[in-house]
Amino acid sequence: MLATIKKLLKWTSLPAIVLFVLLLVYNAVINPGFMKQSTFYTFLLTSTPTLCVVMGVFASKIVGGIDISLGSLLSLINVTLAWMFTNTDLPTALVLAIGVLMGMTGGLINGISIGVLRVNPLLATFASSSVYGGLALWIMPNPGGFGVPQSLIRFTNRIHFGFIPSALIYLMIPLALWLIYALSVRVVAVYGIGGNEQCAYISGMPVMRIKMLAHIFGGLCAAVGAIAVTGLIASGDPTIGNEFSLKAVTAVVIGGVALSGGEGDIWGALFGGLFLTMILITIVSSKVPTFAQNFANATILFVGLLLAVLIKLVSEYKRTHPRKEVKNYD
Amino acid sequence: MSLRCQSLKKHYGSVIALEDASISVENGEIRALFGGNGSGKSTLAKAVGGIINRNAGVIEIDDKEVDFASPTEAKAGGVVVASQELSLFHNLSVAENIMACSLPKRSGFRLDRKAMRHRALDVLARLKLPQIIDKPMRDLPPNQRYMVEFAKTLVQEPKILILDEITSALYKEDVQIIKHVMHELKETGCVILFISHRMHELFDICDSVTIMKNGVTLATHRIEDTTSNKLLSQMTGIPIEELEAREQSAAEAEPDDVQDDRKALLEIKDMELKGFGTKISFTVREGDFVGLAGLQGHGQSDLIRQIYGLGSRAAYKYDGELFVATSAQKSAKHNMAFLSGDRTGESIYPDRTITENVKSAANLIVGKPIRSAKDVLDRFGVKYNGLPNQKITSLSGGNQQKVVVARWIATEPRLLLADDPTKGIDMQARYDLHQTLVDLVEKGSGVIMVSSDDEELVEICSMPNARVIILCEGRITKVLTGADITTENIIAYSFA
Repeated sequence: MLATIKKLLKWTSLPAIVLFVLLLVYNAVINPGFMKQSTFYTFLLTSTPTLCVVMGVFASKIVGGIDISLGSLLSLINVTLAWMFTNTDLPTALVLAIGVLMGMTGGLINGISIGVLRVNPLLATFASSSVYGGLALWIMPNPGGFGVPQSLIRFTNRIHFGFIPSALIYLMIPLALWLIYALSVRVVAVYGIGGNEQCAYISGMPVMRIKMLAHIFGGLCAAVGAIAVTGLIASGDPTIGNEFSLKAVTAVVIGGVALSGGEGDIWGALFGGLFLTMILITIVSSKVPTFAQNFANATILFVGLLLAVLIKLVSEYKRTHPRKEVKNYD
Repeated sequence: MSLRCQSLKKHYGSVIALEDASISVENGEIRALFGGNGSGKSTLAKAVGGIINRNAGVIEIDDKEVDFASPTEAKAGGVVVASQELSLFHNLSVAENIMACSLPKRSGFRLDRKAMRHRALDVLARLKLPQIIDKPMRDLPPNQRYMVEFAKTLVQEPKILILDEITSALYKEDVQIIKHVMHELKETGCVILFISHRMHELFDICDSVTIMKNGVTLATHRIEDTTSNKLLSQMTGIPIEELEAREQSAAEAEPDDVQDDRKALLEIKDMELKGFGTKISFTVREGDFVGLAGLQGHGQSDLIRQIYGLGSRAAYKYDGELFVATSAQKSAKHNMAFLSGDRTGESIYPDRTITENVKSAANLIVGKPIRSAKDVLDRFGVKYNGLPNQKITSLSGGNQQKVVVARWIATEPRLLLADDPTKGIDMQARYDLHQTLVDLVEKGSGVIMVSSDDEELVEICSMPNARVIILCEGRITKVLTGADITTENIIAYSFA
């Protein structure tokens, strides 16, 4: 029992969960209507695109890299879907499949430049981010493309069996893929590469392949997020994903994933993302004046980030400065 | 199993690491490789393990020629290397680390955590360390890390096992455990190459020993046919009688505290050497030159880095007053200078000009600005084609190092700390650097220099007031002065 609690306290995801719960409680107190099921579903749905990008960024970070192109990739797929729905007669399923393929291709391009050509991940994805974002603006200079089929819009907003919202289904696609992968023997290599790439290579782990896979997975996450966004706003918006990229990086850091890689898990990243999206709701329900909302948002985020990093530093300090050994008589 | 190497050769550019190494090890034999710095032990180990590609020579396993292109291939052929440069992941658990090269699968896909833990536990039990299995790697003390490295090689079921200095951080009890396991492997016919600087370990563990020097295998003896003095004598050329006589007189004489009326510049008393836990004491007077020698990684670099305030705090008397070294900046401001042999990593600003590089220390840190960079560069004989504003990387390695030397000498340091400063530079540049150091000492400053090249130390320590301190496992084993400073003596005292 005590061991379980100790383990829980050491869990890298704990700070993110605590931050999220704090905001949740605060909202429930100041806004009694908040705990209603429908409010929660709306919250989850609007968070879904961000959370998808968060999972993608998480994968690239855990192998010691970073991916800041996923938000732009999401925008690109969103406008492409909207354009295809509006201007072609292709069946919905085919259009969605093309979207998924686009995402994986975008991820593959990142993976090749980082894993094979060894470009610095930050630079590589910054560059590809500009390309994806530029393409999105070229396809659709202004928000539009209102031909999104009703079936997709209705599905996105539906709640199955009275308790499973579609948002959860969207989220489950990348999450389940990751969790299954994490069961395989490769999980040791994934974390190992993040910890020490050189050692991973010497130990005969497929470093290049795993890095590429991580980025392809990131692209897939962006695609799923893009489909959710398309169903949510029923149109295309070439800049909708712009802010997701860095938001996701912040979420992942709050979620206890090491900046250098090799540490943290997907749950922390997800709760970090939930915390971030919850801030917006909190500000609105606290009736912060419109002009101060950006400031309030950033301040809470900043404090959250500091807290998360601080907790990490403290546990790091405790680890490197252990108390003098006390004899245990149990 | 048997291992045969015929005339292996390995060059790194113009540096010869292996000249002519031949060994032949039989089924179930534990062979020690014994030699000083740069004798080629580790290179030989790496060549057999597929970590480096040799330039020439034949390796045969069971009389069949093999040619491994990578450590992974070598492992498939049963050759596993455990080296002092650990191959462990600090962020993974001990069990994951041990099994990293041989993860068990369940139904073709899933990581079988139970089996992983089980097999790791088996090996750890053999090493009497079952309690550490679930700990994260980074929480382990150094000796246990080496035990885990050893465990990692064991689960790979080696047929030819190469242990390169993994016992250097181990305690006696650990070494006994490793010895026991090595003898179990020996029973199964495993061939083991064992590299260690601890003489008594060779005699305790091994069946035979091959002496190496300058990349050549000199001779091989059955362990019972030789003694430690015989080995040292053969390696250094010092007659056995002299070595034996020395052992007897060692206890009596302690020449460190000689009366001297020159002012003490640096007085270190019982300073704990981080990472070794040993206590170091010595004094550097004005005009002293101190060479630090020993096998690589025995605390020489750590010692001068600690004095300079890199890493942990160090307290000592400097210029007659108590000085606590906390940062390089503080030390530099107090007229110390630090020359590193790692030019690209620690010395030059690669994207900056020669002028900026030479001015950086004096102008920015010490606050004694250099007026004309050109004068300084000319004084130190830097060849820069009259273009002091080109990037420093356009110069040759030797000239880059001269710029770095000029940078520090221009601050007129009272104490110069040099960490293998001539690594990888040409003979002329090296000679010039030595001359600069001699000049500095003659002006009354103190110099402490680490060198991995024993001949270099002997050469430069021919000046008066020079001595060589030899470290082994972080302990001062000997202080050589005057005519006693010879490469043979340095090597002889480098082994515990």
